[in-house]
Amino acid sequence: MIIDTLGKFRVVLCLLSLVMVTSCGGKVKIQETGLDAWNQAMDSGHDAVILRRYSVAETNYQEALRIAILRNDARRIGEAGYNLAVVELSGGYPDKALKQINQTEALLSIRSDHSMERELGLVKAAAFYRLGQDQSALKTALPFASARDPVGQHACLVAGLAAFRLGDMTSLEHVSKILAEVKRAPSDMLLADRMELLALQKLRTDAVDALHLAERVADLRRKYGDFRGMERALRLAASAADLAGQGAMAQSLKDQAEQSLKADKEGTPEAGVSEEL
Amino acid sequence: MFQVRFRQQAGSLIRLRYADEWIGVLVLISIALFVGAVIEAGVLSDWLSPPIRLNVVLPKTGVGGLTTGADVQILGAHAGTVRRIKLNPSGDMYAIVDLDPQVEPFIRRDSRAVIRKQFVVAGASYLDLTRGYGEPMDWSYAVVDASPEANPIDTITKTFQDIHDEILPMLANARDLTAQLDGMAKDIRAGKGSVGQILTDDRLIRQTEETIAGLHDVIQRLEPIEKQVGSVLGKADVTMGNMSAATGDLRKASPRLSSVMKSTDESLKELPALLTQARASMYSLQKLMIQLRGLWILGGSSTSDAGKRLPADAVQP
Repeated sequence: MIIDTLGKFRVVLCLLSLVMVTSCGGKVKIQETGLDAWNQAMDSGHDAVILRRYSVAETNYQEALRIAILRNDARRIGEAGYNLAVVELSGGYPDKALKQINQTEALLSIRSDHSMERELGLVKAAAFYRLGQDQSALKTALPFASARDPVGQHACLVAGLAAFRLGDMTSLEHVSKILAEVKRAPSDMLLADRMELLALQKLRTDAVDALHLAERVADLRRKYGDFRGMERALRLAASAADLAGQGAMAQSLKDQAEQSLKADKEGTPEAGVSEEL
Repeated sequence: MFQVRFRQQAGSLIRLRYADEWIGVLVLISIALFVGAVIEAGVLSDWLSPPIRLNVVLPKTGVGGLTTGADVQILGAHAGTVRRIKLNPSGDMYAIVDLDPQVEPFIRRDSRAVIRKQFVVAGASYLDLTRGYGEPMDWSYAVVDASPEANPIDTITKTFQDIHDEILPMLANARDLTAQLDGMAKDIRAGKGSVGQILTDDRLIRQTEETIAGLHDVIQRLEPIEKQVGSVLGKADVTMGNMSAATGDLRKASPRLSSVMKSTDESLKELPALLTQARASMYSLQKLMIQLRGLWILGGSSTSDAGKRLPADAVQP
């Protein structure tokens, strides 16, 4: 009797487990047809970005954009165009990125879709900054600077960097304050952005503190695979060391930044980059 | 008798009585003939239509024998006469020419005058006007420039001078060349240089003889090698035969080769489809893995459907 009861209980337990596994295994989604090619191109592009193979990623995102235009799918045109511009910027072609953003904006405009306006504006501002058009970079990034989402927070960084190069300390303090308003626990990257803006503010007044901040920023950027940000932080640290009277250290930091930049230009694919990208 | 004499006297008296009338008629006829001749000669028309006047600026180098009363022609026809040749205080000379009014349409602003000799190099000078095609001439102050005709003797003289200038250096060069050839011949005869040594020294001939003798020895020594080469060639012939046989085998196998190639081609045609399938399978597998990772029972969490856009951090300023 007890054995029968235990046997029945085991069967019921097995069935219950099966039901739980199947029910909690994921929700059944009704996929739109014809999206596999777009999804595959986007995923392949993402994988290539993780491996820092920007030319491969560019090819995949171009294919994704082509498919999205074929589908006349505004949301996906925006995503593919945005990703394409981001990898072009990462690959060291800000002029191409700028052109891509303009093209994507035109594609979305004729479809009356403005959902990607902030993301595209962020990339445009970053491209302007990379091209040395600081006034345009500040003007583009400033309206999107906010504490509410990662796009707004990153726009604060771009605007702050451009303001520093323009010597506009008011705008730099303004965006720095916005970043400080983020209420939830900041991620390491957000922390690095905050510290970088703070270091820029303190560069003229407290060079030693700026040096420490910049070094911490460089460490965080290195940890999360943002090598361009790391190189920028190393240069900032070199400037701070120079102002603090530590010439040898400044030269050493400058050399490190140069070497990093050179390695980046040589386009050596680096493995083991964080998947946070 | 008396009557005959009376008749003769009466006849002569009648003739004398009408002599004045006859003379008057003759004079009138003569006057009429003169007037007709004058009209026929056009003297009146000349008087009635005065000539047109043209000023011809003469060249500074001289008038070229042009004198007052010289003929003026246009298109080879007489057109007028040089009335006067004047010299103004600035030293320029000009001729005043009377022209037949008929030539007025032919003389225009672009007309020119050339001072020519009647027989090219001799004879009286005359003024030859060229026909103009430009704007009409202002006859209140009509002026054309004159130039002397190029003297053929000058041209011939210049040509002779040019020939003279060309020929003299050539003669000098020919003289130098002859002198050099003479020197070379003397040097060769004296035994100077390679050619001279060949002609005068017999050492070279002796050396050539020695070389030929050496070559003879070499040829003699090569004779046994020639036999060896013959055997090598025989072996090569055998090898070629083997190769020929191998080629024949290959030819026999070639029909099968085409079928092999065809099979390979068909297999390759399937390759892209296979690759696409493999790619799709890999992608499905990847999606399955992502889904499995999301199972809470395997320690995962549900993934949000936030699109496939790259994070904002990926934007590198």
